[in-house]
Amino acid sequence: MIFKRFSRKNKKKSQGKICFFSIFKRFSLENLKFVVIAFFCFFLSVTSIAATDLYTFSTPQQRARFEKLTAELRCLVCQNQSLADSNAAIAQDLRREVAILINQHESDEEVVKFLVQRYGDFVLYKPPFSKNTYLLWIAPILFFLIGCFILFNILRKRENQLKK
Amino acid sequence: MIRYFVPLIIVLVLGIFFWKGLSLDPRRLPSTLIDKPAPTFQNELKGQVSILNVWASWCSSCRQEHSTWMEIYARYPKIKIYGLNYKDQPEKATAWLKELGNPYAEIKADPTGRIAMDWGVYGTPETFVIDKQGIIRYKHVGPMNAEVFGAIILPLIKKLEAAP
Repeated sequence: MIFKRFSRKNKKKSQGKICFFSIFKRFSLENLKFVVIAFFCFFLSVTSIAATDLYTFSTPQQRARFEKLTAELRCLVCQNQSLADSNAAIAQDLRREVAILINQHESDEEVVKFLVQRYGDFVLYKPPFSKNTYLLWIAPILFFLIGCFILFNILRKRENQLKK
Repeated sequence: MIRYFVPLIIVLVLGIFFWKGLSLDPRRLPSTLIDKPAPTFQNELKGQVSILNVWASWCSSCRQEHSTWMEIYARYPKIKIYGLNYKDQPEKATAWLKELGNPYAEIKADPTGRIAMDWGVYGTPETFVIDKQGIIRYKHVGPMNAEVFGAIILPLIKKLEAAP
């Protein structure tokens, strides 16, 4: 009996192995072309034509600052994209302006201030901690504390019930 | 007894916020320049209450709102409507105005969009109301229509004209 079961297991296993290898056996030239094209498409999708190539900077640090800033600032019309990603006309204009400001040796804070002065805090992904936004920042912690408080109360009530 | 109503109250309060949120347009950014001096054209704008309309011949919404501006120009000839021609070509702009009519007291060209950037413009059309001291008092994003003009802009203009 045990021997039978063992041999059945073996057969199933070996059948599985054959199935697995047969997939590779079926890899003809046709399939290989498909795989190559698939890999090509994958790698092409991952490369990105950097928008920074349009602007010239005198030092690589400036270029790095440009890339960092435009990635951290929001596009105003394509609101889910950063200035770096968006193809919108206003994003192109703002990128050009950021490049100009960087070339004029303005600091990061000044570039941000330039945009916030004209477009408001919305350009920032991280809203500043001001009297308008303190509730926005505190609310998650507040909710968490309220939740803890309620949980604590429920547990205490349960304990009291158990004690009774 | 009250605690049975707490979830209902919470849901109702949240419902009010969500209901209000449905009518908000996330694309409309509040202007940072309200109650601040106009960034350009201070000389032209001081002395009377004026409207600055940012428009372009390639902008279909501007074409839509233009009939409203012609009506306003016909009905209230005393209100100075300045035009800012945004990222446009003078030939195209003049041809457009010839076709549709010209309600503007004066038109300034902004071929690169840099002037409009100082006004916090991120799309056309946009309209600003500026008071006698050259301070921006209101910004309307999107095509102008009779409802907005009658309900908000006209009363504001009357109020600003009455002020010193």
